[in-house]
Amino acid sequence: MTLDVIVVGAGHAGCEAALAASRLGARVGLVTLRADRIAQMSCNPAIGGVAKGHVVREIDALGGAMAKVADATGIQFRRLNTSRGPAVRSTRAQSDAALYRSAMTDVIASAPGVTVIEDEVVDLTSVDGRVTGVSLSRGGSLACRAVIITTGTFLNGLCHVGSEQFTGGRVGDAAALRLSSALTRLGVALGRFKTGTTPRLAADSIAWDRLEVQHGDEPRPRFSFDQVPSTLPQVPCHITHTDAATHAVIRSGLDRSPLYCGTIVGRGPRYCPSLEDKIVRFSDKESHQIFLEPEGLSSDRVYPNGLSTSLPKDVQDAFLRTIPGLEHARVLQYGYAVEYDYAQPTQLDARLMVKCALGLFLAGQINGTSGYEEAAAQGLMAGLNAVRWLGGEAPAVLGRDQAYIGVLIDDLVTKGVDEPYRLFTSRSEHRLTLRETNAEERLWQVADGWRLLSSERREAAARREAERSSLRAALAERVVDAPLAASLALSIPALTNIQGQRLADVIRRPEADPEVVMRAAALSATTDTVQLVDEDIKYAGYIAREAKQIERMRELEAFRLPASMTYLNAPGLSREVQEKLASVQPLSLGQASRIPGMTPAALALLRVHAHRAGAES
Amino acid sequence: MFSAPSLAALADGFGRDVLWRPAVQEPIATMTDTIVAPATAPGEAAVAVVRLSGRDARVIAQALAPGRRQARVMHRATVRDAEGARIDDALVVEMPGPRSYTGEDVVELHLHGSRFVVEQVVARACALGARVAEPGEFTLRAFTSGRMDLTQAEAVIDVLAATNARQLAQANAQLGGALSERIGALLTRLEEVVAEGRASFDFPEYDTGAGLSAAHVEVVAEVVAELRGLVERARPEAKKARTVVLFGAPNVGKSSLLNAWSGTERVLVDDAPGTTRDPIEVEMTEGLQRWSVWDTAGFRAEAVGLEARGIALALERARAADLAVWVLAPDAPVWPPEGIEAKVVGGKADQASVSRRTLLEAEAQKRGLAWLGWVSARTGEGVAELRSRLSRGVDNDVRAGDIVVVRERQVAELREAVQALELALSESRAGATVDVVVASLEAGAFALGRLLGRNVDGAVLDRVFADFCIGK
Ligand SMILES: Cc1cc2nc3c(=O)[nH]c(=O)nc-3n(C[C@H](O)[C@H](O)[C@H](O)COP(=O)(O)OP(=O)(O)OC[C@H]3O[C@@H](n4cnc5c(N)ncnc54)[C@H](O)[C@@H]3O)c2cc1C
Ligand SMILES: Nc1nc2c(ncn2[C@@H]2O[C@H](COP(=O)(O)OP(=O)(O)O)[C@@H](O)[C@H]2O)c(=O)[nH]1
Ligand SMILES: [Mg+2]
Repeated sequence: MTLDVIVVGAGHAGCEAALAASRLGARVGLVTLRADRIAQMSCNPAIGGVAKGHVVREIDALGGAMAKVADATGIQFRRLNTSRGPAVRSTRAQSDAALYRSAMTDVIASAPGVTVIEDEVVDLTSVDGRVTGVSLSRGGSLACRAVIITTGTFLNGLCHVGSEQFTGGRVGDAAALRLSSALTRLGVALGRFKTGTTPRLAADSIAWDRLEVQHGDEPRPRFSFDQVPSTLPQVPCHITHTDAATHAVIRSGLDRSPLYCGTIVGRGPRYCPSLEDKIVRFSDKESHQIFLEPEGLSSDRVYPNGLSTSLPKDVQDAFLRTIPGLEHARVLQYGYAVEYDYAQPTQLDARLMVKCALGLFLAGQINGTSGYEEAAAQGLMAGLNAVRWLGGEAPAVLGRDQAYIGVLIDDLVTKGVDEPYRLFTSRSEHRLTLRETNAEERLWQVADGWRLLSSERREAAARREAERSSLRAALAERVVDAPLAASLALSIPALTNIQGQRLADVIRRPEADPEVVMRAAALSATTDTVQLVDEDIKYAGYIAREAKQIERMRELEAFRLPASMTYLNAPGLSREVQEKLASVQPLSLGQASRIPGMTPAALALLRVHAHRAGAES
Repeated sequence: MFSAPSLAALADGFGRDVLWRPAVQEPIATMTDTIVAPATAPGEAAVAVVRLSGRDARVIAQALAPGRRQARVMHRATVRDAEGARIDDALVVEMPGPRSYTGEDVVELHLHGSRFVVEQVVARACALGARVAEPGEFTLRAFTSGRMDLTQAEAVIDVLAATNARQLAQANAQLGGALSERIGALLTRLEEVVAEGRASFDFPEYDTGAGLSAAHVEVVAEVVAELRGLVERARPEAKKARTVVLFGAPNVGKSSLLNAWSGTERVLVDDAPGTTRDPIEVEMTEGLQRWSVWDTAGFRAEAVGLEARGIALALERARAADLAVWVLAPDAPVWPPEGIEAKVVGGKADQASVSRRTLLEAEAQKRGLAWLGWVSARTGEGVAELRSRLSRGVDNDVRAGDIVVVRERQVAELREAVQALELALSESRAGATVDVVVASLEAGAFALGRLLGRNVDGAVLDRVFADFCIGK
C-alpha cells in the first residue's frame, strides 16, 4: 500500500486532518491506538463555548466535520453571552460522548481514501531530513510522503491521582512511550505540560431533586451552517457549589497533592485550574459553582464541571460529601492529572510543518494547546497543508483578520506557548469582525479555492451568499411607505417617524427586531441570514472602525518576507533579534512584529534589510 | 447565592497576560558590530569624550588603553597608538550591557580636549575593528534594544535639535521618561478595565454582569481627563515654525526691527531705500515656539523690474504667512494695500511724538487695522512687548513641570485615544453591549501603545524610519 499522508492518532485533530487530506484526494493512513476510541472526548462531554464555538463554525465553513457531528449528537444546546454582544455570542453543546465517537467513526469510515489502522506508531523514518514513513509497534512499517502527528496527551503520558502514578495517555488508555525519542532525533525539542480532569460520578447516586436545573435553549442553536437536524432529546444540566466545608477538606489534603508537593513538573493552564488551585489562589472566595453534565443519554456517568483535581482518592471522596446533592455520590472514576510531552510550536511554520523536518506536521495538543476545537482546527489546516505541500502548492494560511483559526495558528507559531493554550475572544484584535454568524461568509470562498468543499456544500454556501446579498439589497432599497409605517408602529411602538426611510435605516435602530420588520415588509430569509444581516447593519459603525484598524496593519501584513531570507548578520539587528527571526522565519513584517521582544526600531531595520534582500511589498 | 470572584483576581490568577498581553515584553540586548564616535562637540574644550558601543567595545578599549577595570567605575589609563607610543592620558569607564545607554557593552574614554587626540583615538579604534557611528546610531541602538521607548527616542532627537533652554528642558523631561511614564501609568489603568471587560465575556460562567462596573467607568473617565489635559497643552505647531512677514514702505525700519527682534545683525540695514530685495528669513524661538520671521522688499507704487518682482514676492509671502505685520514710519505713513489682512506696527518710535502716535493709531482704527504697538530699533522700545504680544495665546499656559507634547505624531495618537475612550464612555452610558465598549477601550489603548511604540503599524515604522535615517 502506498500512502500520501499518514496521520498518527485519531483524536479530534487526527480526524479532521485525515478528512481534509481525503477531501483533497490524498490516500491517507490513520493510525491510532484503538479504533473503538476514535474522537474520544478525554475530558468534558461538550463542544463549543466562548471562542471555541466560533472555531467550530469556521471548521464547518472550511468543510470540516466537527460541527455536523456535534449537531447530530448534541443533547443540550445553549447560546452563551447573548447579552454581551454579537461578537462574543457563542454556541455550546453537551454531547452524548459515545454517540459523538461513533458518529465521527462513521464519517471517517465513509471518507474516500482513508484507511484506519489500529496500531502504535513507535518511530519515524526519514531520508535527508525528509520523512518517509512510520514504524509500527506490531512490527512492519508504512511508507508515505508526509506524516501528521496528532497524539494529544499520549506522548510519555503520566497520570497522577494523589501520590499514585501510572503511565497512560488518559485513564483507560496506554501512553505512547517511544515516539518522543523519534521526534527528538529529528530535531524537535519537547517540553512537559499537564492538564487535569474531574472525577466521574454515578448518575443514580446524585440527589437531583435538590439541585438547580439549567435547561438548553429552544429553538436549539446549532453549529453547522447546513442545519443538520438535531433529533436527540434534550436533557438539562444541574448546578451545585462548593462551600467552606469543601474547602477545608481540600486544604487538609494539599500536602498529598501532586501539584503542591512537586511531583508534577509540567505547567498547567491557569485559566482552567484544578479545584485545589482555585482554593489556594482565591482563598477569599467562599464558594465555586459546579455544573453537573450528563455524559450521554444512556450513560450513567456524570461529569461535574469545576471539580478537576488530582488529590488522593480519599480526599476526593471526602470533599464530594460536603457538596449539596453529591453527599452520597459514587465515584466511577477518580479525577486525575496527566503530564505529557509537547513540542514548542515556534518550531513549526505557518502550515504547521516542522521547520527542521520536511513533510512532518504537528497538530493538536502536541503543539501545546488544549481543547477539542483547537485540536480539530489545527488538524484540518495540517491535513490541508500536507497535501498542498506534496503538490507543490503555496501554504494555506488564514489571516488573523480572517478567522480565529488564523489567530490560533499565528499565536502558536509566532509567540509560542508557556502554558497550555486555549482560545479566548480576547486573543483576537478583530473581535467584531470574527463572529460566529459570519464564519461561512468569511471563509467559504477561501475554502473553495483550497478545494475543501464538496460540490453540494459549495452550492449550499453560494445559495446562502445569494440570500444574504438579496436581503441586503432589499433592505437598502426599500422605502417605508405609509401602510408599512403604520403596521410597524403597531408591532413596535417605539418605531416612530420612519415613513420615507429605507428599511436598513429602520433596522439600524436598536429597538427594531429584524424578524418583526421583515414580516411586516413581507420579506423572508433564514434565521441565520437575518441574524447576520441585522448584526452587520446595527454594528456597521464599529465594524468599519475595526476595518480601519485592519487596514492599518495591512501594510505590514502585505510586506512578505521571503523564506530564503537570512537573518544572521542582518545589519543593525541585535544577535538576539537575528536569532529570533531566524527561528520563527516570519512570513510577513506583520508576523515579525508579533514576535515577543520586537521593537519598532528593530522592525524598521528589518524592513530595510528585506528591501535590500529583494522582498516584495 | 454565589459571590462572583473578583474579576481582577480572576484576570490575575488565570493569566492576566492572556487577557492583555503587552506587545513588548522584555528588552533585548543588542550585540552587533562595534561603533565609535566622539560624544562631545568638536573643538578645543577641556575634556573630550569618545564612546564605543558593541560586541567588541571592551576588547577594543583594552587594546587602546590596557588596564584592569571594574564595571561602571572610572579608571586612569594611558591611550597608546599602534606602535605603543602614548597618545593621551585618559579616564576610562566600561559599562557592560544590557545596563548601558545602548543596551550593549559601552566604553567611554575621557580624553584631553584636543581635536588631534580625538581624531587619533577614533582612528585607532577603527583600526582595531570599530567603525565610525552614523549620526544618531547610539540612540538607534538604545531604541532597538528596548532601552528606550519611542517617545524617549524621539526626545533624544529633539534634544539634539533644541535651540533654546525651554525646548531643551521639555525634551529632557521626555527623555527622562516623563511622558512615557505618564502614558504608561494611564495605559496600565486602562488595561485593568479592558481585562475586566474581556473577562466578562471570556468567562461567562462567572456571572459577573454584562457591562463595565461604575468604578471602571470612573477609571476611564479619569484617564480621559488626563489625556485631554495632555492634548490641550500639546503644542504640535511648536515643531513647525510660525511665519511672520514684515512688510511696508521702504526705509521704515523693517530690517532694523528684525535685527532688534532676533538680537542679531542678520539683515543688512541701509539709509538707501531698496536695500532688501528678496525676502530674507530669520528663525528664532520664543518659549516652545519656533518663529520664522521674513524681511521683505519695501513697497513702492512706482517700482519696476527686479524691484517690482521683489514686492510681488513680499505680498505673496504676506498672504501665506500666519501673521503679516505692516511697518509704518511716523513721519510719512504709508498704509497697507487694500485686500490684504495685516496688523500694523509703528516703527521708529523714537521719532514719534505723542500726538503723532495718537493720530496714527486713530487712523489705523478707522481703516479697521489691528494696532500692535510702537517699536524702535534704535532705543529698543517696544520690541520685547511686541515679541511677547505675538507669543501670547500660543505659549502662555504652560506651567513648570507640565508635560508638553510637541510631536505631531504623539498628539495624533493622544487625540485618537481620547476620541475612542470618550466613545467607550458614551456607549457604556447608552447601554451598548460590552463587546463594543471593550472594542472602543482597546482602540484607545492601542493608540497609547502606538504612542509608546509598543504597538507598531506602518505609520509608526515610517516615523521611526524618517527620524533615524535608518538605511543610510
Ligand atoms: C485528563 C485530561 C484532561 C483534559 N482537560 C481538558 C480541559 O480541562 N480543557 C480542555 O480544553 N481540554 C482538556 N483536555 C484536552 C482535550 O482532551 C484535548 O485537548 C483534545 O482531546 C486534544 O485532541 P488531540 O486530537 O490533539 O488529541 P487526543 O484527543 O488526545 O487524541 C490523541 C489520539 O492519538 C492516539 N495516539 C497517541 N499516540 C499514538 C501513537 N504513538 N500511535 C498511534 N496513535 C496514537 C490516541 O489513541 C488518540 O486517539 C484534557 C485531556 C485529558 C486527557
Ligand atoms: N531713528 C530710528 N531710525 C531707524 C529705526 N529703525 C531703522 N532706522 C533707520 O532707518 C533706515 C532704514 O532702515 P531699514 O531697517 O533698512 O529699513 P527697511 O527699508 O524698512 O528695511 C536706516 O538708516 C536705519 O538706521 C528706528 O527705530 N529709529
Ligand atoms: Mg530692508
